[in-house]
Amino acid sequence: MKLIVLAQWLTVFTLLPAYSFWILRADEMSMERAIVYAMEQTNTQTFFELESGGTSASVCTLTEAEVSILTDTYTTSPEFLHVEGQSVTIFHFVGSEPTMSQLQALFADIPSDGRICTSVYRGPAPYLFHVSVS
Amino acid sequence: MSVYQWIMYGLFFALLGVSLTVYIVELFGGIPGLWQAYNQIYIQIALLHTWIIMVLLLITDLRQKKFPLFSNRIAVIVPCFNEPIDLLERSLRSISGALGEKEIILVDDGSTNGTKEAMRTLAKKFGATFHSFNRNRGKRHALHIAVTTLIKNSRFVVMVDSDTVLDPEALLRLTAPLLYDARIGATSGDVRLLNENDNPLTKMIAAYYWIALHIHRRAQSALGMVGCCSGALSGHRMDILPLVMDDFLHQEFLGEECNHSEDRHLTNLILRLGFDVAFVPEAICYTHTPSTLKRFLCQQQRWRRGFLQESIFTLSYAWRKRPALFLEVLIWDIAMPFLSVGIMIAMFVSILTHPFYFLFTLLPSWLILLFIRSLPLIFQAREKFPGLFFFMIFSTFVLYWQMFIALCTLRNTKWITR
Repeated sequence: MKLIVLAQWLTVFTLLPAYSFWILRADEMSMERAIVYAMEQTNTQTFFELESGGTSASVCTLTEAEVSILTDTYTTSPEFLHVEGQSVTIFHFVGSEPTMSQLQALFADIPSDGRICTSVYRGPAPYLFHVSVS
Repeated sequence: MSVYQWIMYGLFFALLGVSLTVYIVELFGGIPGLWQAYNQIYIQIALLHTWIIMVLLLITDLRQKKFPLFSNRIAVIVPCFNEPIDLLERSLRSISGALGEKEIILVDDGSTNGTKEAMRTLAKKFGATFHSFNRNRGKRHALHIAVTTLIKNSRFVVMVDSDTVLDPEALLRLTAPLLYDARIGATSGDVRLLNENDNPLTKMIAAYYWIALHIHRRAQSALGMVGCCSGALSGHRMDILPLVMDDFLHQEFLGEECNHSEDRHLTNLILRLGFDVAFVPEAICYTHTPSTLKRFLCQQQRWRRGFLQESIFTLSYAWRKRPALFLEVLIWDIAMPFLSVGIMIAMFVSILTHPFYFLFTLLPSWLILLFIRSLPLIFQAREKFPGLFFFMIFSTFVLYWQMFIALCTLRNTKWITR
């Protein structure tokens, strides 16, 4: 086998498994990273926004009332909200993600004080969620 | 056959309907998990197909067969319709000068550009047998009459387009596998472009050809199931061709007589007989490609219609005789393009709704997969890399969508580019 062909196959069979692993696990991993980031930023009551594709997260503080509403929802929809102590995070949606209308309903219940808007967008790619917080 | 064709034609629309329904359901609230599962299955099939292609190419590289050259009489058929006489002369000169004992057969398919006498003169000059139709009857008729009545005493038949120039060893290289491996019924050569450097479009098309031949067709060749022997340069066994020529001539699709994609249909008929079909990269020819966008799109439109017609035909026999080909055509050639339309629309919608997500996540992810599938080009024909990049974009934004126009005009028998 020529050297160039050998180099080609080494590249192919390095990149292809790496890509396969990445594409099948990327969103999950980035979501996990976002959650960890949010947890690290948490003091008492936090809510984080997942950016497109769940690749980054920003944090804002919720009021007691908001936490209360989210906690109530959590009790009926444990699959997509997670409350631990005073921290509230959007949980891993993989495999049991909510519908867009469920998400909209969830955030519509939060008293609007100008900081949290109610638009929720679920994009075309797997595990893509966008929750707008203003 | 016609009922089967109508059912399969309906299946295309059903697949389209499924894809669009899943997307629309998603737009209006969705069924939990459906869209994600749908996308995941699509990605996993694309990945699996990539793995299979790469493993087959690796096997081909590890088991490279080199057949010794030989001397056996080869009939070279050149069907011709309205070809500029200088291009035809160049083609005949290359055939005449190619290695091997041969008889050349030039068939004028009723040209209307007043070149009949010039063709006759060229035929005489290059010692070719000449036959002329009074009116344009189609390439199938030209090939049929050449095989059934004009070939005198040849063991192999090579079909060459009238604007194609042969490498000196092309005829011997192309027919050697037919001599040494009795399982092989037909061979396809490497088609390169004479006008590759005309403009960015032709450079892109050169990359497109390279990938189609050296990746997809070569991978198919590892299993002896090349789906299409290029009309520009294909080799056949003379003892097999007469068995299929009548079916070849009288093919109908949805009640209309077929007059294009004759190369893929002939290949299909040979595969249906149970013979292998191989790609021979050492048999090289050079041909012209459309150098304007309009003509290229017209050509692609015709090819896509033929692609759909012949995919239906392939499924009719391959489920018994060629399970691997059956699965590839069913899943990769038919199901994937049509079932992905919802995903593609969603991707384009995301350009408007989430441009950064599209630019920095979706598009790169898709391009990386295409890039990995094209890695052999980067190592073996790196001068074609810029063309490859444009092809990946062009394919996603333009060629993919032509499939649906082709679907709606499937019964159109016009050649378009003439």
